Amino acid sequence: MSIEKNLQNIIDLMRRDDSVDAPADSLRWATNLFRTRAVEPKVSFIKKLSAVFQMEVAQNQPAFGERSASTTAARQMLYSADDHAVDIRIEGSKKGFTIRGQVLGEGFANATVRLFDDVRSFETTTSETSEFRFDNVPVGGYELTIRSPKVEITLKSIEIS
Amino acid sequence: MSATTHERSAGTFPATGVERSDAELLRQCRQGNQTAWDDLVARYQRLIFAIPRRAGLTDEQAADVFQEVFLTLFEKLEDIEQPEKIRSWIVTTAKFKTWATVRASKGQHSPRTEEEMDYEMANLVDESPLADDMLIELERQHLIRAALLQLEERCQKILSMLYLGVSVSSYSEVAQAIGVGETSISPLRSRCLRKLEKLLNK
Repeated sequence: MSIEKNLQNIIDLMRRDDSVDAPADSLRWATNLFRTRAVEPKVSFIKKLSAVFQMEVAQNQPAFGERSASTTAARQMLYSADDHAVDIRIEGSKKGFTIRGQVLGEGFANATVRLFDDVRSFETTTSETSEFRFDNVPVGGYELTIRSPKVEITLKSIEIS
Repeated sequence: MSATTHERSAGTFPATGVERSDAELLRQCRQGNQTAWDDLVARYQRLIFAIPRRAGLTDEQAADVFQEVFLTLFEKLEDIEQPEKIRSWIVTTAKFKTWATVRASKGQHSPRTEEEMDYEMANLVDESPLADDMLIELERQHLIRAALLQLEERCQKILSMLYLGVSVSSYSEVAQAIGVGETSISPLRSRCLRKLEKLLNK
């Protein structure tokens, strides 16, 4: 591109520039954000969220021709916590229950997941796609925590039966 | 017609002498440097505010998006893997939050992740309110404003008055504003434009 053409291009872009400053109070808020939060101790950077049960999405039906007698129908539940959602699937088998889950939202790859009640505790790590799985979980009422470096999500009262 | 100061200048904040790179600012923010954060806010505030406005959101909604972007930036300061690409990160985040607001205002499900948003945007039959070309233009305008702030004050004034925004000044108005004869404006204008171009090509 010739210099003249390039200069004209710059002029055209400037003429089309209708941007304005953000409102003064938003600017103040943005600069104060650093001032007020940067002094907080590092430990407070872990945000603790309680997930809220949203819905039981579906009960899996056996596929056509599949025998359902050996397994319990799977349950799928959706929880939300701030900007995140947690998809939980519980499926029964002869040896116990399989709990599969996935965190929908950023920052939960390789997060620590703990499933526990008063006497038992199971721990695993999420995959790159924020999925996790527990096998052979006995019947009971559990709590589930998913902990990333910045956020910890807690799902209370997961009934496995 | 006279325009308000903020419409004709390159930004609210004055130039700070030698400009620090985006990557340098981000590194200093990570060390808790308030001035670096202030500079980052000053550098990107217009670009961030422009994205939701260009998508048709109200000023109030745009201000909400603006705050969400800076909050996310603050929370992810340690996680941004390529500090030199902070501009792309900011634009993508502002686009994501804008799009989520547009969807929410229509009572539609808001995408939770960037991948989900990209998928939904790619499958829209109508034109997206934030087409890539538009975002590229906003980024280029941002770079021009940033470069403008690195010029000496007289050049900033000449180019801002002549070209920045929709209402432009005449040569005689510019001459009066900077205290030179009207015939000097044309060569000064050319010189300033070339300096600006040089900065943009650095």
